Amino acid sequence: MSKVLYKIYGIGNDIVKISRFSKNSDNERFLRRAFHQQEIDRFYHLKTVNQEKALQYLAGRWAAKESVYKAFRGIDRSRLPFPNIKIASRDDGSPVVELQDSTMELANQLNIANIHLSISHDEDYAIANVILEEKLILDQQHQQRQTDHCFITDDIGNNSRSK
Amino acid sequence: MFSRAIRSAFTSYTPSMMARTSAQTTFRYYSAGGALSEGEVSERVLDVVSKYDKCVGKKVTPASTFSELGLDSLDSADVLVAIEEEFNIEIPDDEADKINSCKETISYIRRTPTAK
Repeated sequence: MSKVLYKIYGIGNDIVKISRFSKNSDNERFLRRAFHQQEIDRFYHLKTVNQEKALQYLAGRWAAKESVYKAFRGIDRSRLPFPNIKIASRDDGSPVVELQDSTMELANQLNIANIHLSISHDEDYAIANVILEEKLILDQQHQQRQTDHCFITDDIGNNSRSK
Repeated sequence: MFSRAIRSAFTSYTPSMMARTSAQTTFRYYSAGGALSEGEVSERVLDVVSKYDKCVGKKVTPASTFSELGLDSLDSADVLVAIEEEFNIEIPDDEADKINSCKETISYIRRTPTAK
């Protein structure tokens, strides 16, 4: 019987000073290099309401993208263009990574099944943490080779930690 | 040509170009038409990089990597946007992500026929 196993593929974090975006955020070319169009639209909207919140938003998104890049563990930046690492928001306001185009394909090739993200701000700084989980499907022969930090899902969906 | 030189001198991308002062600003009269020479490209690239605030006071050479100059990924993005504006080009994202040094920047500009 095969089992589905979720293993941590990589972790990444990043911290960035929010004020570093105060000048370059005026440059459309910079924004398009680093952010998805929907993120840029959201930034411009926030800017009309509150400049400080808008820069905080941008810095948090940058930290999240950098964290995702790091969690992919040494993959060339050209395969992880930041506009393709879109950071959207769930209905409850929590951030969620939505990979786009070739970056999504890369994640699929690596069997990345889940991306966990947290962003925080305090005064001048924004910080983000990311965990990538890869999905492994093990046949019976290979189940003895399970490693630590894995979660196994049996055929009826129950989860347990591997030993 | 003259108008481009004026525009370049005064409207270069300046997120961190605070070190540029009127005393330092110079007019440049680069020839129009034809590929830019390696010397000219090198001089202009090093000029842009050396004026980035984190690089002021540091020795910037064609061999300098962005990492050696203490530039992180955000700094690199800033510098490359300034380079784009200096040469009036747009570096594709996948190419920009491969540029990590002055030498690679110069090489990219040299093989970009639209660079001015």
